[in-house]
Amino acid sequence: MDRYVVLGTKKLFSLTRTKLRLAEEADTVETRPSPLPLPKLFAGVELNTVPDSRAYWQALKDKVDYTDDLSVASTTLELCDIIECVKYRFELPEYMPLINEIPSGKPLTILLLTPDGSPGALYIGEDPPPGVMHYSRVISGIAPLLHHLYRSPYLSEGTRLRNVEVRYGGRNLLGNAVNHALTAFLA
Amino acid sequence: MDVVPLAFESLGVRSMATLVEAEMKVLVDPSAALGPLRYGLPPHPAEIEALTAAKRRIHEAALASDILVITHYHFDHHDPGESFYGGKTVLAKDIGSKINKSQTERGKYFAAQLPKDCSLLYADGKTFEFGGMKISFSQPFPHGPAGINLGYVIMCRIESEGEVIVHTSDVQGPIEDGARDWIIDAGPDILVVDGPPTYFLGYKFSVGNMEKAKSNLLRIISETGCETILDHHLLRDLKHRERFAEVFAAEKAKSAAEYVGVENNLLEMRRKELWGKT
Repeated sequence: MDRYVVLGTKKLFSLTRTKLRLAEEADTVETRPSPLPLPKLFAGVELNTVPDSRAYWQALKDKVDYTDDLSVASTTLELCDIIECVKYRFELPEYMPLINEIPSGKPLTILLLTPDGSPGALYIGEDPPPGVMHYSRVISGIAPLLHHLYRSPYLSEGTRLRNVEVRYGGRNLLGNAVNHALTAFLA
Repeated sequence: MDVVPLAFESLGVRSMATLVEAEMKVLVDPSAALGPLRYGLPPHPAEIEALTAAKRRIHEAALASDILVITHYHFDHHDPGESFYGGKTVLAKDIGSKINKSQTERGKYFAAQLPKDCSLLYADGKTFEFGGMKISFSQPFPHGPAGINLGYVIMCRIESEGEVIVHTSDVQGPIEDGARDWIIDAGPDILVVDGPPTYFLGYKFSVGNMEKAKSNLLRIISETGCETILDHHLLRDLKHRERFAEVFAAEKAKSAAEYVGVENNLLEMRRKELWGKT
């Protein structure tokens, strides 16, 4: 396993714990949506509340296998889902998904922290290049995007993504973890 | 009393180094540092130049001071490598209680580096009198909201000739109501306050804590009528004027640079631009 992917996943665990604390400080109880889609898809686990999510964070930490690509990949995406689904009361709107309509009937390019993209691609990160669709300022924003992709039979089958391309700018630990996770589930 | 901001974000570096001149000279938090990574970028040469100049100002002021105050053991507030401690009284955060592991280690190292003719006194919750000058310290307050792992800081109140100056250290706004109440009770004429780290919004700081910090600071200004130097964490955020518009609109709040009558030099906030990445 790439060392920087492992470090990125560990950093994501730490960030998720911080977001859970911020959610608790903001008296958040229910997750939005409820249950969290990605833990349900990857592990068959139904998480409906912040306390559920905190307990599951610990369970993920205990069971993640850093020698197994798919274990690290699913853990990464589930952590992103926890972050995105508990933050609605303590985060500014600019850090929520910026667009709701995702094209689901044609091939999709996801740009992670890279300006190297064609018009119409979905961009995740700060400072989008011209012509792309800016989906999220934060890397954990991949989770709500995956909710859309996993609902589309054209873009997914089970946990596999198809007709999806990912390009990564390779700039930080969290980005490394998310890029690794997406790549692991590309058909 | 004269308040001389020596090094702050608005003067190009991470710091809250403040010289208070009355019948004695007191230098609070004599250190400065740079953010190692912002926007994925290292410090720009302009920041390194600003740091060198800030360290020189701090060194000269410290040599001329009688008392040095260390509010906690982050490197933008204390510098164990400096050589200006000889013959000084150092009033510092206690390393025996209300402190996290990393600051305990740093505090021990700091104490071990001090020369024999330096008098180190732990100051949490204590009051010291030097002639007609009274220096009081708060009990430790969290470095930001309760529950985070950044440890604790002490705030400093300096009274001389009927005037009061309060230096809040890193209480981040303050976010905690207890810190707000301590500041109001201290009755500052001049307040040196750090503001919340809003550059972490979307990452590890919440909009709720930003609003709490803003409301607490507005209440402090309203109840004490103090002149406010608002700088440090808040001025690392490109949008700090917009986010704290009500506070800056109070006209009593200024950055340290504005307080000394020079232009803001917000280098860390502008790092992307400095490196030509915008």
